[in-house]
Amino acid sequence: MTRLDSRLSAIPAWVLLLLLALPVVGLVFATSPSDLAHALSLDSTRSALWLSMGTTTLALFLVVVLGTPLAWRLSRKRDSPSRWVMLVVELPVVLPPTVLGIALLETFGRQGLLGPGLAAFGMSVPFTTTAVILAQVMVGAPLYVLTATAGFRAVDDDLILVARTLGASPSRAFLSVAIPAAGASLVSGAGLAWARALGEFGATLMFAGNLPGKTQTLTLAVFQALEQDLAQARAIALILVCVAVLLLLLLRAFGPRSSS
Amino acid sequence: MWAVSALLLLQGCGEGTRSPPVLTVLAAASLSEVFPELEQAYEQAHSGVDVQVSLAGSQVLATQVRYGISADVFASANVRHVEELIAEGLLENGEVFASNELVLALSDTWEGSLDLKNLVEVGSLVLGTPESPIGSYTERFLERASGVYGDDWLGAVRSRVVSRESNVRLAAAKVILGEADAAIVYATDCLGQEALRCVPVSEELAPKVSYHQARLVQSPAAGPAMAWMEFVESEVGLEVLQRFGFGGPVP
Repeated sequence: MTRLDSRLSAIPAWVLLLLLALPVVGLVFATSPSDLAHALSLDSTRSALWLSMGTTTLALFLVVVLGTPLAWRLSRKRDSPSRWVMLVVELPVVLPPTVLGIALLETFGRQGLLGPGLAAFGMSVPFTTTAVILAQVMVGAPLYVLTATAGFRAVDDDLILVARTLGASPSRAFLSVAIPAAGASLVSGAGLAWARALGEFGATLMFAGNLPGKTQTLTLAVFQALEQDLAQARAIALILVCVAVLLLLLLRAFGPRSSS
Repeated sequence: MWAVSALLLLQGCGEGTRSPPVLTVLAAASLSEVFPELEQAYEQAHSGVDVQVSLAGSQVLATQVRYGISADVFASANVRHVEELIAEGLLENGEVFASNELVLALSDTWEGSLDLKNLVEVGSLVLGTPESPIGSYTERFLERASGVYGDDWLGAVRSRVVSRESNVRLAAAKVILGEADAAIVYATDCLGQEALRCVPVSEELAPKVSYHQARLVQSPAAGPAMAWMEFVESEVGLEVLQRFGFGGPVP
């Protein structure tokens, strides 16, 4: 890069960097330690914290258990049907969360596609913790599957073949060769999926409602606190920022190297 | 967060061109149909003034006022948010301009009885957040009702609550969609909603629902703001409000 280039690119680069960093700086400056202590002493904060931890853990479990086989299959095929499957997987990433909220209601809601069927078994999904988890799976799974698929694609077919000729069963070969080889991508995908699940707001609000202790996750608690207790809203927001930074640092440490 | 971003947007748009004068009215969610109607009537009578109505839960609008939104009039579904903002020096003195009633809105798919006492029979009940006007009126109603039906009744009703929505329209929407059995809303929210069957809350249990309006101290269009408030309180204004089911001002 010439000196002129570097000067020309410096200004827009700094503008964007400031735009990205300043809001976080503003939040940190606005939040005092007493805000944090106050917020953490409130039942609404604690129950939202536990609910968010519980639901995102379950959502991540579902995403990994169901998403890993899908990612593996997608990584081994590049035919036309699997490209369509890929489109289905990618769709929730680009859809606005409120659209997902309506879509979930129209599917699992009482008046939705599966509503009457679920009701026949005495099940009703909207306004339940299950609805929270479903929304989180829907937004988190695509990120995991896409990252994991990319990771699995880098796993050499020959490696699996060697394991098989050495007598490993297909599932053994998958678990002890493919999984470790794509491990960094899987971890990184899981981290992204978890963060996205933790940040879910729009679909949860529409599909799961807002009830402290049952469906009010941290993001919903911030939204409600903003109307009443600004200090609490700021403090929860800061907690979520800290969690996000921690997650990024962990992904740096355990995720794929920047070259791959 | 929405409040803040909405505020930034509005501020961004508010600067610069101010010819024709723009009058920004922040209005409670339950005024969703009647205020646009009043807006049209006002604009016809006062050509050259462009009225913009911004609708949300009153507590959300109050937050926007605290963040310094550029607006002229605040119309709240309760007196509390207006009084608080007056005390904070953000609003001029307020006036009551309409009243409303609390009703139990039941889904038309609900086949149970229409008696308030049997509220415990509904499978799912949606209320406003305690900060929202509808939520705080509801709390007062439930408190009074528990005096009649007992604490067990109150506990049973609370166990039926599946969501707390940030404004009355969102609460009504969950029932209209058929996702919840019942919500406690205003009588005006039932008007023209075929998916709802509404039961009025008996008079001795019902808290008084009154709408208050006040001018923002920082109002950029003070003159039109006063004219708008006078118009809302005029006979023509009252007629429009009544057509949408609202009662006259009861102090």
